[in-house]
This record gives sequence, structure tokens and C-alpha cells, in this order.
Amino acid sequence: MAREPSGTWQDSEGDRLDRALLMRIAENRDTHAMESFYKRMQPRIARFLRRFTTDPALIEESANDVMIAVWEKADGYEGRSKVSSWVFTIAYRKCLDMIKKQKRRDLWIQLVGETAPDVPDTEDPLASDGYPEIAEAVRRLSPKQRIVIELCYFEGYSLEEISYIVKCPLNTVKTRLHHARKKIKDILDAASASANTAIE
Amino acid sequence: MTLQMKADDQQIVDMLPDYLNGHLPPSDAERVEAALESSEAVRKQMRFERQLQQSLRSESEVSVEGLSADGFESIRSRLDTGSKPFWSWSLPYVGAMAPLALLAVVVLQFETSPSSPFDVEAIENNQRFETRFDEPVSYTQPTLRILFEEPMESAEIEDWLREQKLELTDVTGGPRRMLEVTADRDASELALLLKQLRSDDRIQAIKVMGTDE
Repeated sequence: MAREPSGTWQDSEGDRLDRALLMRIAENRDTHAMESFYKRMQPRIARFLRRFTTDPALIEESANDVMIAVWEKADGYEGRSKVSSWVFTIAYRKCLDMIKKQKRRDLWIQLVGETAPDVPDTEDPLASDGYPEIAEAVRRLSPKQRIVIELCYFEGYSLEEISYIVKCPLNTVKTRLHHARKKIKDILDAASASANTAIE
Repeated sequence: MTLQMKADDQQIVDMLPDYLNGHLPPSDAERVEAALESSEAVRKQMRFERQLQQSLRSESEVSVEGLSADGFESIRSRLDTGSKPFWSWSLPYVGAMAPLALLAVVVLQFETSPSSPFDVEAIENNQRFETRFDEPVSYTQPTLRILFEEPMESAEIEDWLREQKLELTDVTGGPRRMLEVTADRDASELALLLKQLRSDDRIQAIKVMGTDE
């Protein structure tokens, strides 16, 4: 069973505000509270989703679907985790769906043999940071491994929080992270060895 | 040089992501720091962790380009501001309420069709009907639960009890329709009483509580 996080999250001012907004959404169906919550959370979700696709329309659609789910499920939040962790449990499922959609679309593009006209060629966020070799290695992980890596190193969640978000036992998260890091290292080592051979 | 990871080091390595993100309790953080001082393998892993984190986090400076500017307006029309449908909050309680709801249905049946041809024996064996909302945990002496066809006036009840030599213990199940009476008698007397009560047209159902009969 995935454990619920038990850290010091209650001390966070931001999370207190998130909880207050979520309570107003759940109890009063308050659209003003929802708007504030959207402004706080949607960009973060969109940034997270952007790690997995460069298609702005897909990112926006998925991030908005997450926010609609927040509106519909707000009364399901039990206050036993950070609000953001709870939102990320929804974003996690949506992210997996989005990756599947992206794969289907890429396959279709391959089959048809052309670039989809409605998808702008935006910059890959991983390629823009000056670590192309790490970007490539992370891109080659399985979706579930990659999400755990992103939640841990990009979003800064604890392993216990990740266990709650992805609904997996803590040990599964540790194992997934272990294999992901090993795979990244192996890819980096192979790239390094290949570069050395080329120089020689 | 190949650095061999010891079993203890592996445990520390598993803690490094939480250490890096500041999630470890002080005692575990001290263990990690001690390992970082003593083990080159752990230090090497830590360098890798930092590099991975820095490479992923440098993206946070990049804005989310290409998203529409209307933001919240794009979902406003999809927000249903009405009350949530009752099943969205009631589902968890349905299981707990089902037996009570069933009893309410049975009681309602009695209320709305008092002359329906119920088989008294069948009703006596029907646990759903027999279970009260406030069912006592146990009866210390034989008790009869009696359901009348029609609500009874207080004076009528008193006369009836006197006539049957019964002691009233409870009145429930709507306006004076269901009584509980103590029937502290031996088995043969109780059987005789039951036979007599079952022949009373005013009585719709009887159940003997607190005895195996």
C-alpha cells in the first residue's frame, strides 16, 4: 500500500492557502476560489507535463483536464497530504494518458510520413538546459521511471510523497528510482565511451 | 578505479534523493553526512545526484510557451457550479444505510397497506422486518414485539394490556402501532398466549424476543 506522506508539510504557508481554497471549492463550489487555485497550480502542472511533450495544445488540454478533475473531486481531499501532492496524483494519471496520446500521434506521423501541421515545433525543455546527454538519457527511460525521476529531482517531492502520488509502495518507488538512475548512468557511460573512441 | 558499493552504502544511496531535497529527519541526515565523509562511492553518487537535479531544474526557468493566454476562462464554462449529485457524497454511506433503508421500506409497507395479506409466521421469520432501528443488544426476559394493524389510542393499549395481563416495556414503530411487552411465563403459557394473540384481528405480526422459541 502506498503510504500517505507524514512530513512537515503542514508548516508550509502556501499549502495552508491551497487547503483553504480547496475547502471553498469543495464546500461552496466557489468559482473565485477555483480561479485563484487555477492560477497557483495550473502553471506548475503545465510545466510538469511539458517535460513529457512539446505539444502546447496537448499540454494545455491535459493541464486543464487536471484542473477540472480538481473541481469535481475537491471534496475527496482528506487533508492527509500536501494539496499539491493530491493534485499530482491526478496529474500523474493524466500524464500517463498524455504520453500514450503522444505515442499514438507520433506513430501516426511515422505511418503517414509527415509532420503534423497543427503542432508547433517548440523547443525541447530538456535540450535547452545545456545537459544534452542527460536530457537524452532521461528521455529514454520508461514513462513510469521518468515520472518518478521528474517528481523527485524536478518537483522535489520526497520518496514517501511520490509513493502517495503514484499509488505504489515506497519500496517500489525506491526500486523504480534505482533502475532509472542506473539506466541514466549506463547511457551516459556508453555515450562517453563512444565519444572517446571517436577522438582516438 | 572501480568503487565497490557496500551494503550500508547502498542504504545511504537510497536516502540521497530525500537528503538532496531536504526531506530527511536529522538523524538520517547525519548518517548520510557521515557516509559522505567516509565513502568515496557515496560521494561519487552524490555528485551524480546533484548533476541530475541541476540539469532537470534548470528547465524551471523556462516559461510554458505556447499556452493560450485566456487561462482560467478556457475552463470556466466546464465548471458545474450546481450542487453535486447526491450519489457523489452518499455512496460511502449507502452500505451502512442499506439495512436501515430496507427496514424503512418494510415499515412503510405496513403504514401504507395495513390490510395487506401478510403471513404472520413469515413476517416473524423475516429478520429485516424484525430488526428495530434501536434494537436492544439483548433481552433479559421473554418479550413480545407486537405490530397492530391500526394505531392504538393510549386508553386502548392500557385496556388491551390489562386484558392480556401483559406489562408494557416499549412503544415504537410509529404512532402506537408497535409495542413490546414482557411475557415472563413458562413455555406452555407462552405458547398459549401466542395462539390467543394470533387470533386477534387487530394484530398484524408478533415476534418473540429474548427466547429461543
